Amino acid sequence: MDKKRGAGVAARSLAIMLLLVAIGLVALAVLNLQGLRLLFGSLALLLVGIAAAILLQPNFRAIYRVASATFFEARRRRFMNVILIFAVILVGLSSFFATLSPSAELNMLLDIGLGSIRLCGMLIAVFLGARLIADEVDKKTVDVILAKPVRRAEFVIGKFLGAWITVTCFLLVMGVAFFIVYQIKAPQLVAKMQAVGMALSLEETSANVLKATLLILFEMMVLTSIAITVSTFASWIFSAVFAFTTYFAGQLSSYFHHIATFNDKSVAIINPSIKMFSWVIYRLLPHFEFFDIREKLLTHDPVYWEMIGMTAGHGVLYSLVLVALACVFFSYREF
Amino acid sequence: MGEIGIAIRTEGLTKVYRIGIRGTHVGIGDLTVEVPEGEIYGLVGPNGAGKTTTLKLLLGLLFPTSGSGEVLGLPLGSPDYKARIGYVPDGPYFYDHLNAPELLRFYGALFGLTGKVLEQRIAELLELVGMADRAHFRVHEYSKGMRQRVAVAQALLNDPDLIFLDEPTAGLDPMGAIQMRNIVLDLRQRGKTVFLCSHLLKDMEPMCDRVAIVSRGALKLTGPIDEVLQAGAGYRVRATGVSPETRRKIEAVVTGIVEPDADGVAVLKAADQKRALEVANTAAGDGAQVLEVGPDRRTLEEVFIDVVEGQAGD
Repeated sequence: MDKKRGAGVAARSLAIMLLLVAIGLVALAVLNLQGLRLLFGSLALLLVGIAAAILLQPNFRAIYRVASATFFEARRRRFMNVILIFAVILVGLSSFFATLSPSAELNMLLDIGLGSIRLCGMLIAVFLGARLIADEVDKKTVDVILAKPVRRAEFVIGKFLGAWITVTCFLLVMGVAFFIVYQIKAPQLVAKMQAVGMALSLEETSANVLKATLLILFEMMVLTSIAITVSTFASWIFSAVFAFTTYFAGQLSSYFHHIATFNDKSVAIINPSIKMFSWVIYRLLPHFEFFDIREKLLTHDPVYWEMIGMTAGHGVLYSLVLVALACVFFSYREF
Repeated sequence: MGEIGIAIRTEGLTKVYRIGIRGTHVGIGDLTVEVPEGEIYGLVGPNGAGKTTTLKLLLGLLFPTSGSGEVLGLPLGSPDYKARIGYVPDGPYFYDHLNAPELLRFYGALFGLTGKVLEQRIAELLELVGMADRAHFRVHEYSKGMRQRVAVAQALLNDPDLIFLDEPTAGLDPMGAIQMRNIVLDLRQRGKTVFLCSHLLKDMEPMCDRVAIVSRGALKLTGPIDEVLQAGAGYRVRATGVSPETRRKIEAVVTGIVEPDADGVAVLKAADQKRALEVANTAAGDGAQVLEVGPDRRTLEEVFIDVVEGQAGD
């Protein structure tokens, strides 16, 4: 017994030490020491995760089983396959928009292709995230699972991971479809553009397409976590509506920031309560517009990995906080 | 001889549901019971009496409004006791796209079972519940009875010390019901504790060691089944050859007469032992053959009706 208690004390001490180091790393990230903000932030996140695992001692096998069951169950849902087929058709169609110039045609290909992936990814993330836990509760399958040695938080984390893996797989299929179309069409268009003296690197554009797809993946992670979190205490319809609303409001985060910080009284006077409301919205909502880098692709602006890392980190952090909240909400739910 | 432990203990366990803004409904109120280890404990009551609420409180699916409880010595809701229990829900629902072995593999993994041990356990349990030859069917192709059988299999995966069954024979054909009864009796034989919830009293009576009757969210009666069935039942005299003359003589003493059966055995009921002996002596004096004088025993159904009807007049 003493041995067990001793091991427990040692584990707690280690976890506290890791958390202290993580706090130090967060401070370094905030200071952006040596321009390594991303590295410090990622390490801090990793250490917090390890500390949480040591303190809470989750049953990883149970989480894995719930996640894999979620994945295999989710991919059988009919609406998912309908959306996937729709997305692949849209992506395919993006290559058929013949326009005036090769440059515009390339932009059309990128815009419609990536836009289709994003739109369909959003539909899948919202509907899947909103329905997973709600369906388990409605069908009472959750009763049998929670009567087993599975903590409610483990169930929620398993559901979230299963949903995100499913969304990732669907995005992968859509991404591969788009990449095939892109690989066929883009070299022809770039060659035409180069023939008329327009300088454009195919490699750079391809890398940017990959970065854009990667960001969609993290964007969908946030969206899935929103839908799942709300579904732990509300109906799936409310969760879906809430997730959609948040998604569209999150596209306007710059607008809210602008309102919140607007001070030019010579142009307009904004009611302080509206400014406060905009500030709260800006601070609370995920900044979904940062995940959409199509604009940069269309204007051929450089897309830096650091920016991708920061945005992805924002997404991961936001999702972690939401999943933690979902675990808390779900722990108070009755069945 | 070792002391018998308590598998389940509740102390004033209460669950009040909120209905609308101001309304409340007592799911179960002030439930204080003890379930000894190794016994079959039956919780009986009409629909909406609070049986499933009690079960869900014990499983940690609902949180008590007040009161407390322990399952296998651990507080309600603790994941630690859930590794040692099994649960068969009423009208069980499972993932539709899986077949029985896949489903059991999933649930087995939640108990930490893997590999050959799990596969062997699955094969044994499918055989036990009579699903071995239909193992490849998907859950959405199952009848209600087949789901119930798989539900029993999943509840026994971890060889539980305590098993909760909610309406276990509902939806089963007569053979299935007999099989279920044998499984429950076998569990007791192996020293397991069984907590049964049902309103099918005829199924419960021959199985239970101890019963509790709940109605309208309140515990009405609890105790060992023999005591419950004998309480207030008085005494009986079984005799053959009871003449009309004898009947007339004992009319004022008996509380009831059950007419002779095919063997000519009549049952003469009396309120207490003294009156029963008086009846027996009178009958014997008139030439009747007295076969037995002893405490009477009601059926669980009769006790249940008394309890519930008694309350209806409250």
